Amino acid sequence: MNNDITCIICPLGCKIHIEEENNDFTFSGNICSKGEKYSILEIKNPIRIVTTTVFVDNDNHRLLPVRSKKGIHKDLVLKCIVELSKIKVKTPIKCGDIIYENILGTGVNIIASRDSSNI
Amino acid sequence: MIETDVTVIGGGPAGLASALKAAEKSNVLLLERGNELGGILPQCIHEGFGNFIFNKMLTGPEYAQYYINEIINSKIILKTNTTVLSIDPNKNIVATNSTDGIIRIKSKSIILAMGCRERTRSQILLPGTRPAGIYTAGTAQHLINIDGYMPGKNIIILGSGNVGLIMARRFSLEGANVIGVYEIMPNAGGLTRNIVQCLDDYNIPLFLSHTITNIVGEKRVEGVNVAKVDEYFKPILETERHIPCDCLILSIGLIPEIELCKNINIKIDNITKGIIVDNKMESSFPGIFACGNIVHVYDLVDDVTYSAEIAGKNAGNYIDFERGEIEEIKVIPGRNVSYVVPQIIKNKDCNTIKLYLRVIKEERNVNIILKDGNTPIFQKKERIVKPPEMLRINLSKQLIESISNNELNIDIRCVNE
Ligand code: SF4
Repeated sequence: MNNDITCIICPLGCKIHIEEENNDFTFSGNICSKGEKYSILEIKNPIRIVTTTVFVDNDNHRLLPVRSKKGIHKDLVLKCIVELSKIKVKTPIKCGDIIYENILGTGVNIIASRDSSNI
Repeated sequence: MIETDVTVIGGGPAGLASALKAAEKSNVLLLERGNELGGILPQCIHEGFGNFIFNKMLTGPEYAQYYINEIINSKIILKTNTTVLSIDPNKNIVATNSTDGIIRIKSKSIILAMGCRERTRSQILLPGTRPAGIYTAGTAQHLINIDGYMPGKNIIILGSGNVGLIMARRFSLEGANVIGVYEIMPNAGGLTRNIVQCLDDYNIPLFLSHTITNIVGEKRVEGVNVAKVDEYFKPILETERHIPCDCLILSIGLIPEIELCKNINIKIDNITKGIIVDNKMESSFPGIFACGNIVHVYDLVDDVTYSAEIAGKNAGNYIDFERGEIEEIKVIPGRNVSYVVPQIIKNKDCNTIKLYLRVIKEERNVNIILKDGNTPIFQKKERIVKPPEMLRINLSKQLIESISNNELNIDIRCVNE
């Protein structure tokens, strides 16, 4: 487990060291409580929005940009992207349409980031 | 000849928002050089847009989609694939495309929303051969995210601006090996958030105070030489080492695209290299407005949209008449302030004004001090200021009305000074 975290909540970018003992956390390096909250989240469940492209048929472009509707654990990001590189979607598509349901069993859907065949 | 009230040049985020705002009261013509709207947004597939305007984190294409839909449903006349060739001192525009041929446009006001361009290798005099495999970060982004091609397998990135960091992550996720990001300055050029989520998450090393001293390779890049630099940014020869790679990505800054303004007398800011504007986003040329990255390079697209809405509103309201002498307050960057936008405040009877400023160097525990001539009138504390993070100051109507000199000076000073 990486216990050194750079807080990204404000421009100070504190380097926070966090130690856990029986669900009790001790911190050093942070200036404020927002940083504490952030570093606990980063230790327990670091999530990221996954963004990538998928192949699309009958569109002005070969690729359609997509994203995960919610954050996914950061260790799964690459796996999601590999999974999405295997699919090809058909038009018409509206921005927000579900492109891939429940990716890797995370319960998170992948949605389109734009309408197909934009001008 | 097309006659219209407002012509908007450029269909990126600034052009879209300004056209929509102007169209609330006027006839608007929107000209876009490319074949689609949205400017850089369609290729910025990562999330992080719209936090202020939509109160959520959208991707670039999603942010653009909202405005594109609005444009399609409006009565704005849109011409894509259309390049503007010139603007003359009577505000006549000449443009061209392959269906209309030459288009002459007479318009009461003009909004310049041409955005910016990436700096290239020749602008920083990067030495070495000229093989294939050298791209600006934005070009690489277009190749990967729009066209679906990988520009290389083993990647070196020069410059730690936000586009470079975002591309480091994108290359990694698409299976390339990103060897490292090299930055000549002692501090990173991009936002902390991007350092963490684009480099740290993927174990990509960032080398500060480093630059590239040579590009090696005949047909294709075979490697680069890198070296540490001293405090005057001169490479330290003993530290030079060769790193094999097949692709070099340049993320070395953006400059406003102002070529079209060369024939008209529009004032340019020496620092931003963009168009000087007042609080109505009007340039020094009456009736010509500017917004977005042609004014200065914004951190957030939300701020581009805000500036565009101001430009759009005022261009829509513009009436040509002899204005006589208008009282002008110059906004002047002082200690540790690189630049301030808008550079001029006109018409004190306006509502609030948002000032955007960038600092020269990182400092902690500072006050941003506004002075009416020499008299301090406003002060705001910041725990840290850094060049990559733009600062915003909201001036209240009351404060603006109270200014009695024709100079508003802005200093950043350490609290204990
Ligand atoms: S810990 Fe607090 S002060 Fe430090 S970076 Fe995070 S939010 Fe800012």
